[in-house]
Amino acid sequence: MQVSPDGLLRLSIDELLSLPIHHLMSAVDLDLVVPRTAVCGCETTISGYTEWVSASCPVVSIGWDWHISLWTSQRPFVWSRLGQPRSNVMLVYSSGSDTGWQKNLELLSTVVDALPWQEQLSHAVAALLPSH
Amino acid sequence: MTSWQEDLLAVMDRAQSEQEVFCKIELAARALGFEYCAYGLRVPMPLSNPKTIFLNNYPQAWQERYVQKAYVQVDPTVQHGCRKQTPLVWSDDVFASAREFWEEARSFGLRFGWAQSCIDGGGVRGMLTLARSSEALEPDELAHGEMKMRWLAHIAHLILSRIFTTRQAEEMQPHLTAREIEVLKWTADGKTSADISSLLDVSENTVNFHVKNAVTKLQTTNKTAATVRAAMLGLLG
Repeated sequence: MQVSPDGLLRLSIDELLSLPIHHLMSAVDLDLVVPRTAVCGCETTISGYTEWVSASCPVVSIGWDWHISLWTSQRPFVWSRLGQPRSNVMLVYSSGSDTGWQKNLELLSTVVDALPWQEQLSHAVAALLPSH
Repeated sequence: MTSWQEDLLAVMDRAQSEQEVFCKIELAARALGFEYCAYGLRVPMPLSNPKTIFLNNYPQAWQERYVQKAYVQVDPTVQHGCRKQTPLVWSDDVFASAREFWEEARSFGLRFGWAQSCIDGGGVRGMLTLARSSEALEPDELAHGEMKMRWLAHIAHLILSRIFTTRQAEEMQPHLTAREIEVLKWTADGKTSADISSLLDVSENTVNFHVKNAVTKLQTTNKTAATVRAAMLGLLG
C-alpha cells in the first residue's frame, strides 16, 4: 500500500474491508446556538464527529459526522451518520481505475455503516458528556 | 475478474428482483466460506400486519419444517435480530431456549452460523444469516473476515429494502394531488381541519374534501391512518 502522488491511498473495497480499522477519537458538538437548559422537556440534539484509523503504514483514516436522533418507543434513539465520510482513501475497481470522487464517498459510506461504530461511540461519548 | 463486492454494487442501482440480488448474496456467502445464507426482511407496512419476506438456500425439507413448526416464533437468532444490531455467532448457549429447534437445524446441516440484523430510517428491518455444515467459526476467522460479513449484511439490506419499498410504493399508486399532500402534511403536524382551512385560506369543507379523497386513495379508513401511510411511503417529502 503506497501513497499516490495526489496524497490518496488507492485500495480495492476488498482490501479496505480486510484492514482492521479502530476508533481513534470522537468529540461532541457544543449545542450553543440556542441555549435550552432553562426549558424543561425541550427536545435537544446530540451530534459530533469521529475518526477511525488502521494500524497499517501508511495509515488509512476515515472520519464522519454523526447525530443521535429520536426513534420509536421500541427504540428510543438511534445513532446515524450525518453526510458522507472524509478519508484519505480512493477506492479502485478490480480493473485498477478510480471509482471517482462521488462514487468513492458513496462506497466509503457503506463501509462506515458496516463498522461497529455506534457501540464504540456510545461508550466514548458517554465519557465526554456531563454527568448531571 | 470482478470481486463479489463489485458484483453486488453493480446490481445496487438496477436490480429489479430480489432473486437477482439473492443470487449475488449466495455467491458472496460462498466466497466468505458459507454454503448457506438467508435474508429475512420485515417491512413495517401495514402497521397492523407487517410484511415479512424470507429468502434462503437452506435445504428444502428444512424450509418446509421451519414453516410447518412455526419456528420463526422460537428461533433465538430472530429474537436477537429484533433487539440488537450486533452480530451473533451460533452456539449451544444461543439456542439454549430452543433445544429441539437447534438439534433439528443441525440435522439438516445448519451447524455453524453467524447472523446480523440491520434497520434503516424507514423502519425496515432485515437480517442476514450465513451458515455451513462443517468447520466451526473460530475467533481468528471472525477477526479477519467479520468486517466483510458485516458489509455484506448492510449492502444486502440496502439493496433489498430499496426493492421492496419501491415496489410497495408503486403497488399503492395513490397519485395524490399537490393539495391532498399539503393537507396531509399539516395533519401530520397536528393541525385540525379548522387550522388548515385558515392556513390555506379555504373553507373547512374543502379541507375535509381533500382529506376524504386522500383517505380513499391511500386505502385507509381515517385521516390518521392516511397520514401515517403517506408518510411511510415517502409521499410527504
